[in-house]
Amino acid sequence: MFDKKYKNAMDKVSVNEEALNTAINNAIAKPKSMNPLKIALIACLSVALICTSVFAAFKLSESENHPTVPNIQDGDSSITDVDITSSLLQQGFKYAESYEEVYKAVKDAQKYAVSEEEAVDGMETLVPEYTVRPFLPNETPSTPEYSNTNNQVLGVQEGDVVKTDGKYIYHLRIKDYKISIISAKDGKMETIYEINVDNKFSPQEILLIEDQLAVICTSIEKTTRNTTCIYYDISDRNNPKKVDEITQSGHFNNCRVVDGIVYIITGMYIYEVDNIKESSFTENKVNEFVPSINCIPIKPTDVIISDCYTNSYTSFTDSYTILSAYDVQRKTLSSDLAILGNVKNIYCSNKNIYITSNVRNGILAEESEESLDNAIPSNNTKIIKIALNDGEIRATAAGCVDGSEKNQFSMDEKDGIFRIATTSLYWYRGKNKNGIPKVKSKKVNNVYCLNNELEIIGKSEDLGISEEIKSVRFMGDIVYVVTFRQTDPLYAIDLSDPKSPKTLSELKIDGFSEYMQNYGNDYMLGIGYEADPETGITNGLKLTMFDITDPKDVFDVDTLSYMWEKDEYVDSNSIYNHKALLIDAEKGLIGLPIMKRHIGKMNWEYAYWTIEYELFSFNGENITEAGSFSCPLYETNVNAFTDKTRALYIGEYLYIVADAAIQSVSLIDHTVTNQIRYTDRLKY
Amino acid sequence: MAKRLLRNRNEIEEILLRHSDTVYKIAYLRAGNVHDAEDIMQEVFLRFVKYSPVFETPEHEKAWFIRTTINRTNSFFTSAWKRRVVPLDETIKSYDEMSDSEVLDAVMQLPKDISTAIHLYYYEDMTVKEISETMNKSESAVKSLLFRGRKLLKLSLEDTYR
Repeated sequence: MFDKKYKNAMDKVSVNEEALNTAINNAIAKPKSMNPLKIALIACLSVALICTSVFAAFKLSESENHPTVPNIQDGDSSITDVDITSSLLQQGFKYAESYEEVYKAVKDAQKYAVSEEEAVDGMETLVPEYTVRPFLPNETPSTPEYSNTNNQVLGVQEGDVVKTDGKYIYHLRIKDYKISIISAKDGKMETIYEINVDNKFSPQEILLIEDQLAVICTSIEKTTRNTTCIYYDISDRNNPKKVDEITQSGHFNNCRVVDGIVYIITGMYIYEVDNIKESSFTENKVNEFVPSINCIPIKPTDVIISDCYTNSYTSFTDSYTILSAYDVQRKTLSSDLAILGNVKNIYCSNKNIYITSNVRNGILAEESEESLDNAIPSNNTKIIKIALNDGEIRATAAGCVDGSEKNQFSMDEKDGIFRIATTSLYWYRGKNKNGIPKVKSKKVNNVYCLNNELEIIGKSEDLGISEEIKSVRFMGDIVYVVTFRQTDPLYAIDLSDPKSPKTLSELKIDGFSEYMQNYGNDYMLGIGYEADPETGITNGLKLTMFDITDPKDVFDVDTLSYMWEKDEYVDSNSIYNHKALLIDAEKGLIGLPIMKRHIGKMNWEYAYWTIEYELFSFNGENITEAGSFSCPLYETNVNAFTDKTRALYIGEYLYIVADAAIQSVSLIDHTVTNQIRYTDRLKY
Repeated sequence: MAKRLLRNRNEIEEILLRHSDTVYKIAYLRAGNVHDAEDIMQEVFLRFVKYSPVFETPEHEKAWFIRTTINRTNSFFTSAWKRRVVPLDETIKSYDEMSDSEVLDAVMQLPKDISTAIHLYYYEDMTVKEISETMNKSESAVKSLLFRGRKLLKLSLEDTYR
């Protein structure tokens, strides 16, 4: 038996008598300074004490003094180096000191990774997407003359396929490998320039930083994936000049711009690393197990290694996550780092980037109440916090929570507290109603509050048991969570005291929202699906407006649905991508692309899809359709997930940016005033 | 401000002796060698005398010592890290064939938090709840550590339950 042998072996591990006595004597005899208060106290004692430990400074925050009381931090933003190291270490992370250390960490990780045959049968992949948007109730941005990308956090720019500065529209046409710079004034458009992207690159997103335009592309070279960010100086719109190109290892995950610094996150899978003799760490060899930026391997002191080996078939340590910071004004790379661990989602505030990774345990419990109560969730989430420091990025804390989050909107940072909503999945062996063994799952939903060092200080677990989170939205102190199985409870949870979240209300309606965003201060728009309340099967697309003036009493004001008839589905990219939604309460605008599937009129005609950009208005009582504009497409086998239709407004004109054409529409009378078609090979 | 207790030399010595074995074993497990283990034990004793904490129950007292030892070994991470990179033998024998010391070696090669959880569970006979309070982790994090440990040690189901 393992435990007997271990006990026997450990019984023999004992300290040398002499060492023990020395240690005790040293501890007792160490001279201490005496505080006047204590001197008085001691003077009162009748027994002469040899030494007592007294210190002049009475500061004490060591957790070991109260082993059962959680060590609660007060959101103090100044963390010492010791706190940082300790926080990272608790999750198994550490900055490396040499390539030898990095190499050993990678080899160890590969040794512990389990092959797919050993993985547990019957595990579904976790459903990926749901969204949340943080809200700063006292900080409504002033109505700009033009619309911005629908960024999650004020002041943090996200990449998209279209950008505007109120005078020009920059449109990344992915299929054409071009970026069109179009002047837009009073609804009239003119293409000023077309930047060509080399077709060895696959362009993904653009960023606009004052007079600089950045294009992020991916490329593949043999089996290596790289992500390149190309910077153009567009101070002269008629003559953009390429000024820099930064290539980093890995496939593109996400990007952000904060205060003129561009942060790009990529993930690089590590193929099997050959054995390297210790003495021969030349640059060529190092490239096999260390990611690089512009062909230079990342310094070992910028690599965070981990010992978080898991035995699930998607090993946490099978990839690197690489983060680079580029100063656009100075045209230099400020800093970079790599983490031995894969990335799922990121959340970026004005101060920090949080990188999450889902760690899976391939365990099946037996189906008995006792074993389920003691079961471990099959998934938990590791979080690393990277301080932005104006481009000098550094990991400052690490933490771990049960379950996994769906996307960036499941996370939020407020006053130094990091909040995250997750769904925990428990797999167990059960039987279906015919008695045949079947792998079943139990789901449980949670909201966690973590302090500066990413320690859990408050939590709300077991929300919506056997349901799954569909959307989350943080708005100041309240978080709205939608869970769903057959009907949709929308929970409003008060996080004003992060140590004890309180559920304030629960609203049950049919269907569920996949994405929620505030509309002004009083309302919240939910975009999602209708579902049959008996079966939970989705049967339509819907928009719901919720009244959130009192979080204790949230109710749905109105719902507009597109019910599906037979196979004529209706879907929208805004369900999967928040950037496809145009929402501006001050301007009274709600707009999103709606994709409809049409069955051919005759039996032999195939189904085809059309995209219409729909405008909606809300008067406090009803959501109504305000306008519908058809969007020209290159082809009709499009899908709502990859669709890139967007709209923006400048002044009183709406510009609808579709795959194959861009059109301007007057917001006053909804007439189409101008159109630029990119090609003549349009079908619709 | 944390409460402190004035203790005399005899009281201090008695408490330190009571927990020296527990402290040393955990220090040795996490640091991997005798010298570091002795240094860590010294550090723990110094901290006890310096902070002179108040304990409400004997369990609190023991947990304090265990918790402090774990924290002290974090700063010894460097030497422990380098030591841990000895590869696990691919052809791991079944536990029937291993000697007691081979079993201990196998545990010491595990990542530190995992080996600590295993030690507290199998040697100190702590419950998952007690371990979670001592290591300042959630109960499911502790279960996950134990589970990973068992898997890494390739323990069969019979070995798993006491």
